[in-house]
Amino acid sequence: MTVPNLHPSDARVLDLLVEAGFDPAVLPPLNAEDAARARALCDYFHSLDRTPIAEPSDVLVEATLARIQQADRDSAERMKLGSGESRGLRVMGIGNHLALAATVLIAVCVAIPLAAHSRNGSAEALCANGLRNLGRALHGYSADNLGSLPMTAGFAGFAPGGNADQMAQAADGKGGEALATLAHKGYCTAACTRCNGTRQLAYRVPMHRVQLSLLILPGMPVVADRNPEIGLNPEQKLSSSAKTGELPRGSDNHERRGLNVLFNDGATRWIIEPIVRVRTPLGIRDEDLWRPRTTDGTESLGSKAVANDPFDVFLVN
Amino acid sequence: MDHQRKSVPRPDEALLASHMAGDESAMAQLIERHKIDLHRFLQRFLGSATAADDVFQETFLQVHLSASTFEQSRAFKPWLYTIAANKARDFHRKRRRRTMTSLSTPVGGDQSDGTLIDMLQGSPDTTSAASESIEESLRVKDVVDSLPDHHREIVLLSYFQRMSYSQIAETLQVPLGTVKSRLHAAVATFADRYRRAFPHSFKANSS
Repeated sequence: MTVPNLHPSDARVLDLLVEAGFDPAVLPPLNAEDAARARALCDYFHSLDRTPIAEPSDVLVEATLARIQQADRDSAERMKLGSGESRGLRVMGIGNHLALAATVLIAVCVAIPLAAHSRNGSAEALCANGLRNLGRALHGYSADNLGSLPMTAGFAGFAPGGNADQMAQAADGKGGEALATLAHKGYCTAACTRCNGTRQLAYRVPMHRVQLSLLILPGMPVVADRNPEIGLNPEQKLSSSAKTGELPRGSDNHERRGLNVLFNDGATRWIIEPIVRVRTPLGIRDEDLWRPRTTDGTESLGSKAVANDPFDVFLVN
Repeated sequence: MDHQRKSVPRPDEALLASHMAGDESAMAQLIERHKIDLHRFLQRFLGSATAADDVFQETFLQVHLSASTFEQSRAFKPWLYTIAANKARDFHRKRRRRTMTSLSTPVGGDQSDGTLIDMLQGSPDTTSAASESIEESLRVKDVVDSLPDHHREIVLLSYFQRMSYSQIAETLQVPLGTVKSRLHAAVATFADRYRRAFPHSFKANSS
């Protein structure tokens, strides 16, 4: 296969266009042929404007700042471990002690209200880091198993049109078992298959007789924090619904503040509600990670599930 | 007076200096200011919004960690994009190592004779209704995604960031001549693959 070359005349006009910032008004006067070249080149570049682009998430700035703060905390922790004993203690006078005590008091007063916030940010960042490790384990498993992911035995054979609530209840726990397979087979540690080493994660339910694969649908969610809707009994659902008008939307793993999601391209994202915009061959649609798609086209627990919709992203614990 | 000073947007370089001096809001302002453009650049580079989120965060984390090495005489934006492009390339490399097969479609390149005008007798038909469809825009994206990293980044920086050759050279830290030859090769490859992805529009126009 040969690499195509740009004709020197096209290259010359392209250079002019780049230096003009693709603004025809800034271009020097061109003869008719070069003007046609410039138009042709611009047509190609303008076609790039048609590539689909999603807006950045609303929490991107906060998430970035949280990551920076986490890095600072980690760095401070390392510095603390590296200093102290080896350097020895300096002799301080009474004035220094008083100044230090005053500083500590002020710092404590300021820090206490911020502590809870930073603790949450830290837990979320650690969880995201764990998910990234889990993503690497899933990719390793996939590479050794012809592109497929650990099966969640017992619910790949759901018949289409089953009751979604029963399907969810029956699948509950199977997601965790499938992820534990990764640890059993040595792709990661057991702690890696849980949020911050202890709390359950939710894993994607493969649809009816469809083997779950990392390669078929790029950019799809695969794992997330624990699904809080599964396991609620009907009374809890009713009472939750009556009190708030909504069932829990954030994961219990993070006190319902939101959830971390791992996508099959290895990226993670923190979201407030379990709604993720995904691209399928049928178009772009919003997926509710907590609920399966049902026969009436909505997503909910307790209705008829469409167990063979390969583009439904439904995560169970 | 103080109020007046606040209403004037502070340059990026000043915000970075304030961040280093301990101003907690300065980094938030920098991130907010570059959020849209940088995220779009990364999305087009990586082909995924979620991957762009991840690399966007990595980029600003690196800005924070390397702020002390930033030369105040330089412009902030090319430095930011240098970091972003490096992080995006790292992300690509790791992802490629992890997946067994490439998601990009290999395309042949053995019919590259003629100038762009010859190839563009049927240039992209922007008027047809079909060109507005999601499917077609996804095909354009596939063509962009199929370009090698060092070609794609240069197309994105020149067209979407409107960078001059010297700014691209500074951002990618490669000689000016290399930038030019890479962009020429990138455009030739893009045009060739575009023509293969949209054969009907070319046939229609050339007939």
